[in-house]
Amino acid sequence: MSRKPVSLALAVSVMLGLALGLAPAVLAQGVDELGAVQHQNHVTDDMLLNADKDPNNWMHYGRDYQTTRYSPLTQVNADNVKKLVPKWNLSFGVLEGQNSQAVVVNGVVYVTSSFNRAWAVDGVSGKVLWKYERELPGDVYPHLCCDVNNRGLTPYKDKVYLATLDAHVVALNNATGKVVWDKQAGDYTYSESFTLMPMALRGKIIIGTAGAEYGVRGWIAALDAETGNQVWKTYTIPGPGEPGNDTWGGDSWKYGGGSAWITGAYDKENNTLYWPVGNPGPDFDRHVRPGDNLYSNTTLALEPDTGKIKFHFQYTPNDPYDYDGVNEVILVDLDGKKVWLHGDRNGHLYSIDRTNGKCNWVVPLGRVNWVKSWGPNCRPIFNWPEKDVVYDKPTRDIAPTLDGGKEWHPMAYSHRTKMVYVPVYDFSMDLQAKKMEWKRGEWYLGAKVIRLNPGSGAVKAFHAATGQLAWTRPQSTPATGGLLATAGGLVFFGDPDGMFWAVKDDTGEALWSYNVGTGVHGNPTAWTAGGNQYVAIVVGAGGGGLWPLYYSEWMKKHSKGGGLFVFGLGS
Amino acid sequence: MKRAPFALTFALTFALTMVALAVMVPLRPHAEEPDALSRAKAKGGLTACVDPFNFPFSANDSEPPGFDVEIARALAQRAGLRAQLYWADTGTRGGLGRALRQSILASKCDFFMGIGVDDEEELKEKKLVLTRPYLGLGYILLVQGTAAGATKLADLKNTKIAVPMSTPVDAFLFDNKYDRALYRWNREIMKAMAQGEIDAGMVWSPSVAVGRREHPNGKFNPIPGYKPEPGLRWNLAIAVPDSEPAMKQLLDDSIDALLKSGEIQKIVERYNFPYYPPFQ
Repeated sequence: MSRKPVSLALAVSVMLGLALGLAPAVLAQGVDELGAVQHQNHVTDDMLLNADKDPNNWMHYGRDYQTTRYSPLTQVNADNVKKLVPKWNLSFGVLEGQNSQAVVVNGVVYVTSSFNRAWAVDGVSGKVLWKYERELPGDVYPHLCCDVNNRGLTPYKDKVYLATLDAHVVALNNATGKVVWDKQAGDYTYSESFTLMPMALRGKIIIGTAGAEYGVRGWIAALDAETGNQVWKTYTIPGPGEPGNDTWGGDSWKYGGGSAWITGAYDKENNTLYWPVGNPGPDFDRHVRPGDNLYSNTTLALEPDTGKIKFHFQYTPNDPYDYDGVNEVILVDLDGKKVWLHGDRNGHLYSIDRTNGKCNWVVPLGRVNWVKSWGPNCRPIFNWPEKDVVYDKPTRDIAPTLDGGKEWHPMAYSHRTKMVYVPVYDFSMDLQAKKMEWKRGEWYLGAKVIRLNPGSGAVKAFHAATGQLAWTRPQSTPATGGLLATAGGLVFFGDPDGMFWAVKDDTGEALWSYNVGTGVHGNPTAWTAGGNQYVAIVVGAGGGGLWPLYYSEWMKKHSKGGGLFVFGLGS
Repeated sequence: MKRAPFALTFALTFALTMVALAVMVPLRPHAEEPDALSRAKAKGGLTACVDPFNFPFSANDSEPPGFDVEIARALAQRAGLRAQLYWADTGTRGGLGRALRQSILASKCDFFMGIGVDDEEELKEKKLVLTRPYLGLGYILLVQGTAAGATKLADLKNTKIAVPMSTPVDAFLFDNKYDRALYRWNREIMKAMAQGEIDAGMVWSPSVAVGRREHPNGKFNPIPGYKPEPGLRWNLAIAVPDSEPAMKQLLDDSIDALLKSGEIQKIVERYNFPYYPPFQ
């Protein structure tokens, strides 16, 4: 027998067999299966620890454990950013404040929206790989002070982790979006709620609760990344017998607030976790909680394996203004000093020695009038009685407002310029502590923000070593978007008008902008995929601060929205 | 006779026409906008703003739906109209002010139920007025166990009294040197009493409806005949735009009728908390 006929017969047999074998399978699976492409990512501790050196991915809330928001990418730079064009857009399908930080691993974008939706998206094409939607309990909404927002998924090993409004942490398989585990980590009926992006650190998922407006006693906790079981929990308000409990008069510590709803930073050299803590409660009535109210309005330095407090720095003691100290810290080494940089609600930029909590310097971000001078270690000497919040009369023109000189929207630091870029609010408020305030069917000892006085905003650059102002880009609106600095000489940010900007990092000169159609309340991300650099921004106005309360005027010419816009260089 | 130049004729004619128009236009009457009550009658329904998460006042997921919902329906029925509801969340960061701005001031409803009568400055700024009050509310004493024999607040001078923190009753007891145990919310106090942790509490009267639901076997009871202390009692009324006097009049008259007939008392007592008519 000649070879050819055998070979041909074999080939036909094989093909026939394959066809017969495949055909029923093709008919049974349908389009979704055929179209399914699974990208399984595996994010290791090593990758996370060295994220600052990885230009291609974005794996942390602040791009790296130091929270610099500095991208080493240069493909998009000051010379060619004018050629940036939209590449794709993801619509979230929901409104309200979109506060998310998109993260990217090996070209897969993971992003969340309001109401705890989450997506994995192909970073080149924008094709949705999977989508997660959470059924939130109907009675959670009265417990949420400040919008239905979320700040993002954290990638770790083969999962991504979502912290939810109803106080759960959910681990999703990062290839399929399927729930691996879903653990209740707090009690939303007691107003514990999560809006932050968790931090993944050496086998642990670290979270903090919100809820100070409702009398929560704040805490930070670490869960086991594989099981969701609690490893440690540290209250931000000390209990009886614990150091700092004596800074709360009477029983006021029980409901002292001190929420921890922004992701912290981690220093691998000194193995220290830095976690920010927010305002005391009740927000405006300091008289019922005499004392410094530790550790409200504080950055805590913690032992990451146990949660033990090593040391702290408090920005605003016995705070009557709701100067929520929960803003992020950026870890930087400058001129031989190891510091953290922090832009506070109280209207100041701080440089703090991150080895011992000593203050290097403090400078105003804008107009500030509640502080007269500074005591040891940058302790504020309050401008009282002139700007104290009292019951019997309104106090006019307190600067800044409770939204701050800087709200929660994150700063960025550039290794290229050694500047820190800060989104600034510049408003003042008239405030009166009220013996009675009618709130949800009951009278409270509260406060009345009688007026948000007209103001403006800016993006400002400060020399990180000295706090000296380098440049300012004023705008008529507050700066409501987070910042991104790049090695390409650019700083990216969005504004409430819906413009996404790229400006020169050394001068603030605008080089490019794009109208994304709705106010920006989220943060930019930069990554590479397929050899190309992309820059993205989460868009969608909203939020729980003071300024969005005036949206009724704003909404006459603007609309809410929700999505992710992605840009790349035009061909 | 020499003819006037065309240009002059045209100019004069034009000017006269303009003058005529200027005189005529004001003589045509403006078509007036119908007021809110007229519009409601035309569409057959009155729209009430109510809070979706405020049982026993109102709740969008409860049956019964809340006394404010039932009273709004009774008010509409007296006018021969349907009651429609617009849910306005007062529990957000901006509180009642924000809820008012986004609802009644945005013309989403004709009136806003359940406003505590005290400082009307804010309402005035928003060009809202209150109807006559339709209900009295206040902080009341709950007692059980060792405190069961108390008939008035003074009887509890040496007893720990549970209070919701950062409320007027917290300040009142502090100022009058009573021994307070702080709790976050009224319902926590009733939970603590049901569990036997404490035998006396001073709570916001409508919150007893929640306490009874959550602890049907709880032994805490209001002191019979107790009236909230002066300074710890307020009235509840309805907010209406000050530009709508006819709507306000309708509501005032209807509230008066429903109070006199006992309808409001019947509605409120179904929610299992002490009823007080508006305090004088």
